[in-house]
Amino acid sequence: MTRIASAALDAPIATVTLVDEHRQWFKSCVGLDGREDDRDVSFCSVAIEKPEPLLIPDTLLDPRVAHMRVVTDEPFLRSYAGIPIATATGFRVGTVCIADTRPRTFSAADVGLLEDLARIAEDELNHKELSEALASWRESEQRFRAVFHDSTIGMTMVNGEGRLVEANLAFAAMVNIPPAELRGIPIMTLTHPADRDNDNIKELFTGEIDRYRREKRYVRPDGTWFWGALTASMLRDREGRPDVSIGMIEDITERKEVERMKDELVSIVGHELRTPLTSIRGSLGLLEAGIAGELPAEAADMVAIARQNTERLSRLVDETLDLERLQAGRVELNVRSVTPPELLQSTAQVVQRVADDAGIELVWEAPADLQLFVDPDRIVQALVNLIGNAIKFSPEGSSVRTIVKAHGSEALFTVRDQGRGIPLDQLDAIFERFRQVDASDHREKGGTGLGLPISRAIIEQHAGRIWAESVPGEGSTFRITLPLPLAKPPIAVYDRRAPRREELARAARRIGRRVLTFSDPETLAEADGFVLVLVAGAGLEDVDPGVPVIRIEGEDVDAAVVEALK
Amino acid sequence: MSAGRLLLVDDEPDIRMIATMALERVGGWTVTAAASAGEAIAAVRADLPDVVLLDVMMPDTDGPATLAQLRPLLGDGVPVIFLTARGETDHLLALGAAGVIAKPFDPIALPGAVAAITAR
Repeated sequence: MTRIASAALDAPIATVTLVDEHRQWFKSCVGLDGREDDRDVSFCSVAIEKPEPLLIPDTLLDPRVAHMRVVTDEPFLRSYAGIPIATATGFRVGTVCIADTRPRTFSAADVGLLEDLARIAEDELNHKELSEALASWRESEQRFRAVFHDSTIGMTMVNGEGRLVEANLAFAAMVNIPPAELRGIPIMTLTHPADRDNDNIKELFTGEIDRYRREKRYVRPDGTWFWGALTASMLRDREGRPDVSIGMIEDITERKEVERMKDELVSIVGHELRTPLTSIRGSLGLLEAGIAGELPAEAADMVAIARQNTERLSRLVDETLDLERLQAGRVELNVRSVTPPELLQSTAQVVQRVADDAGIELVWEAPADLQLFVDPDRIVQALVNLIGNAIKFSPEGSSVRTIVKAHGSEALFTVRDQGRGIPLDQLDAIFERFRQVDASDHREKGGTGLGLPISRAIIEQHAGRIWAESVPGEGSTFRITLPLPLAKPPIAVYDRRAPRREELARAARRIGRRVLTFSDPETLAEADGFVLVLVAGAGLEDVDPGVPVIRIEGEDVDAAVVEALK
Repeated sequence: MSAGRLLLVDDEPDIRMIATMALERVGGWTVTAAASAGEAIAAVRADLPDVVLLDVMMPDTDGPATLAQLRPLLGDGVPVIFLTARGETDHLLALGAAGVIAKPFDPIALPGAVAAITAR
């Protein structure tokens, strides 16, 4: 092309030049050495500033270029004509140009020829760009297809209507439906009826969330089902609009079954142990008290040993069951508003006598103006564990201090003793099951080794943290943090219909409010200190919840909630 | 001297024996033990007790159902106390119970717990 330009226009130099931010280089060139040049001293960088042709009959008379090295030095260029070339999107990336060592004028025919050449160069450039983009797109699509179809994990594509666009062989095998027949099926018809509520696919398409994970049951045409762990995310088109949801489904039926059996085993063993233990403990208690007649001194000692160990065993069974339930998330928290002094008073009722017997002074310090939203029984249980431990490991005559303070957005509980302390390498381990610092502790101190794991499970369920600090020889400090409720009162959301209830709760959470949901008007009495949000037509007309009720009307829940809670 | 007549209803023989011994020897009650709703009804018909101790978890007819059958025979004057292993005090009181004692109980402390509720 540069040869055509050079010959047709009788110019010693002709180039197709591409320019980027810093340099220019010759795609094709006649009459010049070298392939690259500093862009700052090039004619072409001037030419691409405008879409029109750049014509310079005499370089020495044009202040834009007169100073350039190609003018003042070899090859002493005196004239130039350049036509910008642009990409399909209109971005000017270079020129087709000729240059001469003598001044000259350019006729309309000269310019027309150069323009024709520039269009040809443009077409070639754009075609190359397009085919490169196409190739890389095909490659990535092929890769995606390969991952999608050959994956041993079930994969689905679901559109905005909730219908399957495509599913891979693994998923087809899971649900036992040929892949071709899966196309167009609403995904909900493959979902177990009990798991259809609370699916987040709608939020995925509205853009509220980017991805979600949940465990749900998928049903097969023959009525059998399997547990799947679903991870769903959104594929978006070039404009960022939701296109299809990509789901990855792993069959976790076996894991679920093992979990269920373990839970069942723990629960059955627990309850089967409990009943006989209760009888043994009761009988020994009566014997020890001499109800069935005065025992010889030695017999009374042995019965006392039997009774104490039965009690320890009962406690172990109770606490194992409790920990198991807490860790499985099966303990429902009875959350209500309490102040730290209320919590400490309830704790003191349990531990004060133990402290008095051990000759330990208990010191309490807590502000009454802090409000906590917690399950008081459970928090007291955790505090009793911590303070009970502190008493056990404190020398007689020392004190155990319990201090509560506001610390940023959290309440900080500190329990400090003057005991032997905890080796630094055990500070974390003591929160695991049966991990007392000294193996002899459980005999000497009578603990089950489950108190701290239970406390941790309780605190973590409250979205708080628990940890230990210690200077060995000087004592231990246990700390608990519990989130303080935001300044605005939390909201009780009531609606019988789960999806609607969740929709309301989400809307209220988005504007920074703590939310508790209720489906049963009977339990609404616990909503003391709440603002109540209610959907119109949800019932509750006959119930007096004892708190203000706000009725949310209409379909646009978000806007209505914002308006109502402003 | 007897503290009064107490009807104990529990399906577990061990619990019946332990509780009976504690209530009689420590609390001074005259105890009749029944293993089921049927036995409890027969016992009430034979001799109206002053207090009923009633287990919640029983096969066939459970505690609340037994109470429903006993109440017409007992009238309002005889307090009924539930024994329960579950922490479900409120709805049991709503059924008209005078009180609730948690299982497992310390037998030595049981007579005191009964006395505290009947004294109210």
